[in-house]
Amino acid sequence: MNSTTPPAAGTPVEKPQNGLQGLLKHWRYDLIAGLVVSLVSLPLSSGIAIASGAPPIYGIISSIVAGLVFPLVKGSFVTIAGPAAGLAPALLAIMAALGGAGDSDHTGQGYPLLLVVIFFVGVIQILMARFKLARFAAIFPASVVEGMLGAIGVLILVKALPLFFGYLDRVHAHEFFELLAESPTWAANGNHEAAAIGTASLIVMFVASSKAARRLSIFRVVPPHMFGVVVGVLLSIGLGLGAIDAAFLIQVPDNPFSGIQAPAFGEMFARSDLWTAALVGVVTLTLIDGVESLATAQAIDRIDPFHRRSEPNRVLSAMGISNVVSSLVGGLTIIPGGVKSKTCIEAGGRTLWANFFNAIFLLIFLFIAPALIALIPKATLGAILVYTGWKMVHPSIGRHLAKIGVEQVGLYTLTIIVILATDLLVGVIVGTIAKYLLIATYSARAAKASSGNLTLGGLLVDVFRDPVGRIDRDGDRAIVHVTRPLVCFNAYKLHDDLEALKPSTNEVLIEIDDSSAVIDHTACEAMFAEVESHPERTLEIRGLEGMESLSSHRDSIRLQDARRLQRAHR
Amino acid sequence: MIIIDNILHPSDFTDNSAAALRYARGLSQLLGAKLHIINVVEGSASALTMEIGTTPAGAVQETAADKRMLGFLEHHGIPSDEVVAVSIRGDPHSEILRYAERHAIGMIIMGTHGRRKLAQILMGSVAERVVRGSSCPVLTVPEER
Repeated sequence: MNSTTPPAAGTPVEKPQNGLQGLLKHWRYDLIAGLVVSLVSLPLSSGIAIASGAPPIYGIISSIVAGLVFPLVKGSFVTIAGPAAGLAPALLAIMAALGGAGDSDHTGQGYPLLLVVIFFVGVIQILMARFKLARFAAIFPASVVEGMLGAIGVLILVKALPLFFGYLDRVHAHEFFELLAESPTWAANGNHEAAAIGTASLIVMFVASSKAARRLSIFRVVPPHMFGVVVGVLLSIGLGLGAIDAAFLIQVPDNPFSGIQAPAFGEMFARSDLWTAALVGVVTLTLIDGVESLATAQAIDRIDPFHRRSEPNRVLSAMGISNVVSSLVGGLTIIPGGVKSKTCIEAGGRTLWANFFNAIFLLIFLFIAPALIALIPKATLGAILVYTGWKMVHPSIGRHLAKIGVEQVGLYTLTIIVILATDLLVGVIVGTIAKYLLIATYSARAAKASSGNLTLGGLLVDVFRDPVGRIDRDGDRAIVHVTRPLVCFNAYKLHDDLEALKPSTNEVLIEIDDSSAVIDHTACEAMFAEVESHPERTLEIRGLEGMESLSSHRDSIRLQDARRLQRAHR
Repeated sequence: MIIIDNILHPSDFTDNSAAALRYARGLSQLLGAKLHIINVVEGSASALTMEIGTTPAGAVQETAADKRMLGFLEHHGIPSDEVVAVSIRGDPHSEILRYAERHAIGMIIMGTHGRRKLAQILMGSVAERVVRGSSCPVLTVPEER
């Protein structure tokens, strides 16, 4: 299965390209990868659809649309796009606000209106990609983004509990605390067989992802979700779950496209009372889409055996087009997904055409083997969602942030709590403002210590300006002087400056000048990521040693030394 | 006469361990011992990598750590051929102890105040754990004030 031969570091290899040429040359690899990915994306997309408040078929349709659009727009290499777990709670909340969310068997009242929202999200993404704004997502503080994903994880987990316990009645609650209060009812009134299957699937997934299991190559190559599904299906057949009530199993309509909904443009335009909810929906989805897809593409770039780098604006454009098409045929939002992309790499996928083959196999399953899909118990999908949610808010994330600094755990926790108590958008905004205030306190300290060289007002504006004051060039060598604070709000400009250097530049020195008052965690992470992601160029950071670190972690906040601040001049 | 052939100085590259580095260099010259400087790169955990079930390729992180190590040696004016300098990935205290055992280290010299106080209460200090687990003498050097 693992047919890709990862090139040894440093050896020049031919990098598989997208497009027709790539298809002709690498189709065998992508065909196999597409098949393997489809086995994972089928249950995953179904589960995500249910978590989003829609029947499984809508998740599968979204995956198919993504597979048909992404290879044509290009922009990334081995990412597999489709509906994403990270979007599910937002989709559910938007649908509820627009008239009612659905569940695993029904579409809600708000669904056709949600499709309108998704359509506009797609249009905005296409425009943003046009104006090269994909990196807007990088301005959010890393710990706030982690908090956002953590809160999403908690929401996915709680929302999945009825499925997990085999509770078939309608769940009316949508708010986190209401759901939490209802959860004992689901556990008490659920079906024991279904709950047993859910539990077994969950245990199998945790075992399959454990350190001990990962020593065996099969557990590294096949994602844990697959093992969960196989065990769930076998147990469901053994316990005769379908005979107890067919509603415990996934249902796919005989004609997959029979119940397709169209976006209700007319209703949306006529009902001005829904406009605010729709606008909030568009902003929320655009935000999460942007943040999550950028992070996913970067994470996948790092494990691409061919060391290719995705182009954020092309990816955003592909997402936009997919979202427009998906909404028109009744599908959910589409972004590159981490689990499916990793599976694609492990299965030897080489180009974006693996997406296309994934789509083809999903179509084959839908039309030729719907009975096979109908073997999957919903409790197993519940287990997959519980597993996914738990991983997104795993304690090791908080521990990791604690090593970087107590203030990061503070931002992380604050974001999670505010999101759970209010909603995603408010949580991210509050977290980001808190981060700005934190930077402001460090800036005030620096301004005081600089004995007049720097002013607080100046620093508070500087954090949004290009941190690079000047670039000295000397042949193939460049010294990039960071003269302003380097924080989450302006770190992407450093990236742009580095990208804009002549390709022949093979030696780059990032010099942190005396006047750079503060470097935050997000910027540190981004800076070291630059060092790691340029094998063709030596990149060195100088001047960090003289700064005060808030912890011993590489990515900790750095504050400029008082003596250096007093020498500062720009 | 005590014979120590190898001295280990675990460093987090911060100025907090600068005093410990001076002791390590001084003592290794005095005893004629080889100085080993190691830096342990801790793995990172994020919602996405946890969900995907992977941490970003380890080898790449090590290359970056190696570059930091070179910068660190240069900053302190240590010729790189005089010492053994290594970057390792993993859990700091266990990697330090493992390295000490594998390389016949006769003494470990390290700083005590890498992590800030609250983090120390939450997670304990690396030096403390090394002292408890080490089979060779450990000299801990407090941060200079």
